[in-house]
Order: sequence, then C-alpha cells, then structure tokens
Amino acid sequence: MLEMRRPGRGAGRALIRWLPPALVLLAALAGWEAAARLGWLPLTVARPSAVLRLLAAEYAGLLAELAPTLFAAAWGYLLALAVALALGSLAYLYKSLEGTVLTVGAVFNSIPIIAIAPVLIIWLGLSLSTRVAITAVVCFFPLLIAFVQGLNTRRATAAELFTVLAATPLQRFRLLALPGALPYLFMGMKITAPFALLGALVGEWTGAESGLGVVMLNAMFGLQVDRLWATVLLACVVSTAAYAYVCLLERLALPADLREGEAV
Amino acid sequence: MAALAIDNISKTFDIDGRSVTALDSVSLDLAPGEFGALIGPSGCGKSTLLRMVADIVSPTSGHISVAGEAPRKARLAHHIGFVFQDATLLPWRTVSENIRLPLEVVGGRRAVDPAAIQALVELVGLAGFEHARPSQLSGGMQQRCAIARALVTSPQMLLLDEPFGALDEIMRFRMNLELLRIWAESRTTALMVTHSIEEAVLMADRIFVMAARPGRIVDEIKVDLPRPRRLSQIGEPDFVALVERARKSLFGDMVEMLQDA
Ligand SMILES: Nc1ncnc2c1ncn2[C@@H]1O[C@H](COP(=O)(O)OP(=O)(O)OP(=O)(O)O)[C@@H](O)[C@H]1O
Ligand SMILES: [Mg+2]
Repeated sequence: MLEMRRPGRGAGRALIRWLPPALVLLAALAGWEAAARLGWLPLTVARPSAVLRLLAAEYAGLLAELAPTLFAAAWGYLLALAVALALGSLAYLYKSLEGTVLTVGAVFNSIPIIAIAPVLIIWLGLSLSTRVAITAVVCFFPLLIAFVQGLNTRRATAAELFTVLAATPLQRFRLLALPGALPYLFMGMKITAPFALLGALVGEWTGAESGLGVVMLNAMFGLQVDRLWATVLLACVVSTAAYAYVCLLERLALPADLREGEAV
Repeated sequence: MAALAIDNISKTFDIDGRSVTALDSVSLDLAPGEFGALIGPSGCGKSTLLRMVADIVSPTSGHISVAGEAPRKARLAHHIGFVFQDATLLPWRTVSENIRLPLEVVGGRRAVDPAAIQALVELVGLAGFEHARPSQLSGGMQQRCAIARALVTSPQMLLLDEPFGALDEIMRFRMNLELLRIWAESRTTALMVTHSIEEAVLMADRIFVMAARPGRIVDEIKVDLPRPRRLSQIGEPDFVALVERARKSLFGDMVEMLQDA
C-alpha cells in the first residue's frame, strides 16, 4: 500500500539498467582485443584475452597476494572511520574544538601521501601498521568533512523543537544531529572506499614483502605486461566491489528517501 | 491562577544595526483549559509571541508566566507543547517513533508506554500508519502526527503556530474539529496562531486581534458559541456576526476605505 512505484520492475528493470553499460564494456574490450591482434597497439598494452588467460592460470597466487592488501585497506579504512567519527562528534559537542579539528584535518590532508609515507616508515618501520596508517591518512579527511557537514546541516525548526523539548546537548546529538548526518556519512564512505585500496597499494610500493602492490611493482620492473595489467584489473574490481559494498550497507541502513544522491 | 499570563511584553530585534520593534506592550491572559486564538497581519509578531511563551526567544521587557512559572521553568519541566507551522517530523523516524520522541527526551526509553503512544495514534486518526515514515504521509497526516507529538507529554500549555496553514479548506475544517476534540479530551490550555478568521471563530473561546508596526493587540473578541463546535455553526447568524466583528477589527481603517470605494 505504501510501496513506491518505479518505472519497470524486477528482472526487467535490472536488465534495462545493466545491459547498456555491459554492452559498451564488451564492445570496448572486443575493439581493444582486435586492435592488439592487428598490431595497432604498442607491446606495453596487453591483450584482454592474454590478461584473462593469465588470471585464470594464476588466480590462486594473485588472490593470495591480494589478501594482505585487502587487510591493510580494510583496517586503514576502519581506523580512519573511527577517528573521523570520534573527532567529528567531539567537534560537534564542543563547538570550540571544531575550528581546530577541521584545520588540522585540512593541513593533514594537504600533505601529499608520497611525502607522508617515508615519515611513517621511519616511525613505524616497514610493517603492516605503516600500510594501515597510510591508508587511514588517505581516507580520513573526506570522511571527517562529510560527517561534520552532516552533523551541522541546518535544521532550524527541528532545533527549535529540541529547545522546546528541553533536550540536553547530548540528546540533541544522539537524536537529531547523528541520525541526520548518516546520509552524509555514507556519501563520504562511498567516496573513500576506493581510496582505501589506493592507500594500501601506495603503502606497498613504499616497501612490503607481499601484496598486490608488490606484484605490480615486480611486474613493472620485469616488463611482465600481461601480469601488470592483470593486477590493474584486479585493483579495479576490488575498488568497485568496495564501493558497491558500502552502497549495499547504505541501502540496508537507510530507506530510499533518506539516501543522498541516489545513483544506482 | 491564570494558565498563561502575558504582561506588558515588548520585543525589539536588531536588523542590520536598526532596532525594530516587533511587539509593543502586549498583554493577554488565558484561564486554565481556555482556547485562545491570535490573529493578525503577517509580520505583526504572532510567532514571536508564541516563541517567547515557549522560551525559544526571550522578551526585551515585560513578564510571562505559564501556570505561575517562568517560561524557562515551564519548558524545562516539559509543560509546553509546540506545534510548528510545518510539521517538523524527523524523517528517519516512523509515526510512532516521532510521537514518542518527547518521552525519550524526558525520561529515556524506559519512560515510553507503547499503549499510550498507540492511544495517541488513534486519537489523531493515524491508526494503521504507526510504522509509516513522514515521507509516506500527506501534509495533513504529518500535521496530525506533529499534534500527537506535542500532546504526548500531556503539556499544560499547547502552543500552535498556524498548524493548518498548508492545508486545503476541507482538510482544514476536519483538522480544526479533530483538534478541538483532542483539546477537549486533554483539557490543556491552548493558544493558536491563525490567518483564518473563520478558523479562529470556530475554535477559540477568545480571539486576540493584532496589528503590525509595532505589533500589538488591538481587540479581544469573546466567542460564546456553544461547544462542542460543529461545522454547521459556520452559517449561523451568531457565527457570521462574530466573523464580521473580527474582520472589522482586523482590517481596521481598511474596512471603511473598502466601503467608500
Ligand atoms: N530572529 C529574528 N531576527 C530579527 N527579526 C525578527 C526575528 N524573528 C522575527 N523578527 C521580526 O519580527 C517581526 C515579527 O515576526 P513574526 O515571525 O513574529 O511575525 P508573524 O506575525 O508570525 O508573521 P507571519 O504571519 O508572516 O508568520 C517581523 O518584522 C520580523 O522581521
Ligand atoms: Mg509566523
């Protein structure tokens, strides 16, 4: 009775949504393959078929290399999320801290990650914690900004309602600001999910024993073109999957009309 | 003791360095259980007056007491219910979650009695929509939910700022009568801002007519029509006479201007 109507339903709707992009992708791959076979492309560009064949043959090894990368990405992301939630909440509850938190966050964010990495390595050594820390640094600021903006969104009459109710600052935070900030937070989480993989890869490039980033570097220096492209493809798949996973979480947590900029 | 005593209230705002007198020496009293209506042109300070009673803003001078208490004390004791012009429901909460919000603020979750919430849901005619969220309700249903929310703490003083401003005529009259029924059952004192003269006559025991620049009360009209009020009263001579009377004091000099034209 209360269900919202949308154009198209079920399987038909999914087909309409996914078929065109899938076709475009397939056509592009076919064109690429053809161009490579005809020798129109430089040798540094791998053939899609060769990349797929390599993936099929070595997927077990590659997945094993992917595991530590995912581990660093996930923990770094969660660390950044926890710190952003904690600092954002503090900045909301103690307004005098807000300027400091945002400024320090902005300064942190303006340092290129390539510049931070060596500092972290000297400090933490060539360890997993370094890679987690690098990932967290990459993800932190967009999460903080999204959360703080969500908390501070102007809700003029709702604020008056809470005044009439004689709500404490903590109740105002818990019952009004926090739930109101969730759509913004999810927006930030969607944007940063792919950053987490980026951070983990950069972390591995600065030095690690294993990981997708290490495979990437070795393939690059060894001129193993197919292998290099296979790692790039894997990275893309993981990034997209991370984004999709956060979208799924958002869908489970928020009803449709509360999601910001509903795209899919 | 008066349920609401507004004594010689003035309010000035600073707008761009100029000081603007929004309200000038406003006084009014409501007896316990009385229904008062505030009517007046846009900008005459009706909302400001209500917000001062609810301790959202404070007066520049003068004194307000709600059942003998200062507004701040009454607000902190949760004696005031406020219905805003737009429903101001929290979009992530369902109807019953919105209605019980004030109880969560007053005493944490433990204080919430599901049966009491359900009774309120039924009182405002939202049975079957307990689990709907605001975006799934019509404007009138949202407003009824907001009224239920204002009533859930059984406030002694119910303040309503043009609660039905956004509704069409038919819906509006229905809501008027529903609100009267709820008010009669809950025995609170009510002060309602409205732009509709008929609405004021239909609902109120007394109408306070305001004028702008500076905002002040220019007339007070006693409405001694029998209760419970019915829609059929609208056409009766007594009702029509009161509407005319209110229109005259609301339009002031303009009535004569219009008659001359
Ligand atoms: N926060 C504020 N700051 C400055 N001026 C204000 C503020 N609130 C109200 N005013 C001024 O006070 C006057 C009365 O405003 P108010 O909102 O009380 O009018 P109103 O009678 O409720 O009008 P309406 O019928 O249009 O809602 C207006 O001139 C307005 O500009
Ligand atoms: Mg107003």
